[in-house]
Amino acid sequence: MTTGNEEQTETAGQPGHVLGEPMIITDDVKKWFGDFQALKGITTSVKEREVVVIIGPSGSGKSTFIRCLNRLEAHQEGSIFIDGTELTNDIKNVEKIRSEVGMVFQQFNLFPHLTVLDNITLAPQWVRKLPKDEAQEIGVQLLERVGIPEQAEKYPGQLSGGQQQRVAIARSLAMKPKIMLFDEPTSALDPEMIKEVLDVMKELALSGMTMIVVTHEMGFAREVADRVLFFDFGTIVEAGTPEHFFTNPQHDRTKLFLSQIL
Amino acid sequence: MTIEVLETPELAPEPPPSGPRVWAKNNLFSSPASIVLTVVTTLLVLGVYSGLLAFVFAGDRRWDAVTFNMRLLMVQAYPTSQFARVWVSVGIVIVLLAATLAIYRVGGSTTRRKLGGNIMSVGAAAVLGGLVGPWGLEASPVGIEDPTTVSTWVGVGVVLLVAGYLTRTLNTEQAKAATVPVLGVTVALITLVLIAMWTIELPFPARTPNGTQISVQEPVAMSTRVPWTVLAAIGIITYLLVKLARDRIDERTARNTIAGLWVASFPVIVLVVLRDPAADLTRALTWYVPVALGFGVLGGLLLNFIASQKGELGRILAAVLVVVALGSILVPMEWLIRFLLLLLAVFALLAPSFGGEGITRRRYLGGWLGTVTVVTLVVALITAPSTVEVASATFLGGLALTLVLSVSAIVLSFPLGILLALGRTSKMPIFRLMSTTYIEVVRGVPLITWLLVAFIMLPVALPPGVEIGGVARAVVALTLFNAAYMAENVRGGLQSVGRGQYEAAHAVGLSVTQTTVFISMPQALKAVIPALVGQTIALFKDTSLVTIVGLFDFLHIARVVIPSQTQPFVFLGTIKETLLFAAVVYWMFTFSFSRMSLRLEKKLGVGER
Repeated sequence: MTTGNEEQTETAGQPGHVLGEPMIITDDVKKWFGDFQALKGITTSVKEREVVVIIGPSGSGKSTFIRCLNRLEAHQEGSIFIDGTELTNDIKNVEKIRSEVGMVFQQFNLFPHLTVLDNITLAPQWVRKLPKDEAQEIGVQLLERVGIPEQAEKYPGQLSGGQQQRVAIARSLAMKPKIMLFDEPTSALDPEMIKEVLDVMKELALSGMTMIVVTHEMGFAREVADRVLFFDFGTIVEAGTPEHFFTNPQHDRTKLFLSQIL
Repeated sequence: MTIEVLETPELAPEPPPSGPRVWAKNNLFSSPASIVLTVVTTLLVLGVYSGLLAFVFAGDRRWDAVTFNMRLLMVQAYPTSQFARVWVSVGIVIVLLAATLAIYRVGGSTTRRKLGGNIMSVGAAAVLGGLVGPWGLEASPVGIEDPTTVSTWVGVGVVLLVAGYLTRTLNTEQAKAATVPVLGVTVALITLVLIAMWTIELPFPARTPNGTQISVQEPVAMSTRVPWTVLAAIGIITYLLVKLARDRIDERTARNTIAGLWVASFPVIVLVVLRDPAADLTRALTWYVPVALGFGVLGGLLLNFIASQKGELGRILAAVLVVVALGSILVPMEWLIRFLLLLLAVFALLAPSFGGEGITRRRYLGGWLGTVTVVTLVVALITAPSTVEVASATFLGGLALTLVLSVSAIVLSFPLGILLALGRTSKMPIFRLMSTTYIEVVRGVPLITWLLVAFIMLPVALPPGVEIGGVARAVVALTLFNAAYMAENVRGGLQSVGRGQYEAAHAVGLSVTQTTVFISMPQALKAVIPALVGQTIALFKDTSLVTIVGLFDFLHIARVVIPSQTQPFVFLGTIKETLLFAAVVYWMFTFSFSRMSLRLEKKLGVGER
């Protein structure tokens, strides 16, 4: 991406980045896997255009939490409201919410039997019911936005990891989601490919997308986040602005975690 | 910013010495154990080859039992006067094959080295044949017994060896890189076969003036070599024409057209060309046309309505239609109506997921109209009486019956197998229970039993007035049996699709049905192509079991009919010859299947890591 963008990202989360009404409201969300309690009552809310970064050790429930937000996992207690709609077992609600919440996975999960362009246009065509040429137009625009317009006719297996993850982001964006969830989007990438994906995510944050990002990229959290949540043992141990979080952590657990990774 | 690479790369080391001697040392004689293994295997192979030649060329072999009965083996009692229909059928397949080769750009090229190597292998086999055949070394311990035959075999072999060697090495520098188009080699082979048809004489039965039956060498009857030559020419011309035209037409359209023609070719050949159904204009105008129009138009309007519903109303209507369609089994009515009701219900169920908007919607409704037309046509064609009079219990026999049984059973069991696999992996307990029960029950009983059930019990179970012919009963049994195995293969494929694929599909909002159709099923089927082909081959061979219920399939004619023939010629006890011929024909088909599947696997592997 251009250097201009990077300079602007310094100010993300500050002036010019006006937060709106709450988009996601969770209240005392609990989730068990068998006898293991993965989430022990998560209460938080995410406002429109807010960028929330979730960090924490593995097994702390951070992935489980964002997977509950589009019901890839079903929470057992508490309530989750997405843009005013409650997530329940009602499949209609779930499908509606899923089409408004984009998700990017650690392992990309592109469809290997479809070309890059078909990966992107499939959902707009069959869920949004756009005509094929309109969907393809959107697909080409998105590939330009993530910087790989020349790869449209290739298959995912022919792309590098970073390119695949950018296609995955474009695939989510094609549904014109109101919220984007990122589940460790750079953890499966070679170091030199991480930047190209983070650049796309920064650009997205600047454009005003509501985002929840589970990541270990502290630089990204510092630069882009409006708020950082620290998860451990299925609870939010500490929450705050990146400045507060990285320079003046309150909780011992947070201090220990930061001392280990920074 | 670019970083210049300053170092010049090191040259790769000289390749180690190679050549036949080094290769043999490394691969055949690398250790005492491998030396023993090589020697034993060589002796074994030579022994088998020698035995095979001795069998084929033994003086008392009655190959005229095969040549004389070729027509019986191929189409059994199909009347000679209508034989043009058989040739037209073969012609349709050849034309489609040629067009497919051109449009899918099959072919590529092989190196001259390889081609030369292949020619040399054939030459070596011929030389060996001359030495170990029933006329060679083995025939007489003291020396060569039949010098003419030996010298012919060895001579031909040596010529081929030299030709192959020259192909490999002439212009050494070029030869290594030089390529030969595979299709050119194929055309050359076809030409060779045609020349052989016109020149080589085969044994045919004849009678001496005093009535004794003898075998004489005669050229292949005019009835086959002229049509084969014409058809080969048509095939090659078609290929060239399509090749010229293919750059001017959209490739995707061309491919879809050819695939559609293949699908249509089978019912057209069996129901129209071979059967020549009697036209009944009154019935068509008073029944088929109104029914098709009614279902097409009213059903289309209904589907359009359901597809445009945003809420639950569409799904409720579709569910009502399913109940009506299933209930139609209980009410006496024409089968056509039942089929169309069932199809309308399926289309209605899928309409909310695949109805789309704009062009997608129009395509979906077009698909409905097409389905109604095709189903009505097929039902009309099947129920119309045939005008070709066949002097046999079933309309088809011989290889034609074997092929029709196989293709029908494979085509019909494919969708059924997919449905069963989906049922067995479904989250809904009732579907899972039904599918699992079906699969386990059907797989637990031998195919022969199912064939007997279809022939003895099916007529009892059907409502009065409904009769199903022998071929159709066999198709039903083979289809139901094969579907159970197909389902297990597809289920294996579904299990190989990662959880991430489902999650990604759900995360972009695809419904469960859409995820199955667009994401999991294509990947599952691709993963199990080898298993599906293996099963197809098995089914092709299993069709020979229909002999147990009295159908005259290819193997039955080879195994029972010909060896008990006394009129017009006596072929009693010629079972060895006919069985070997049958084995070769079965092998040719199954081998082509497996080659085609290899191609398909490679092709679909594009873009896969």
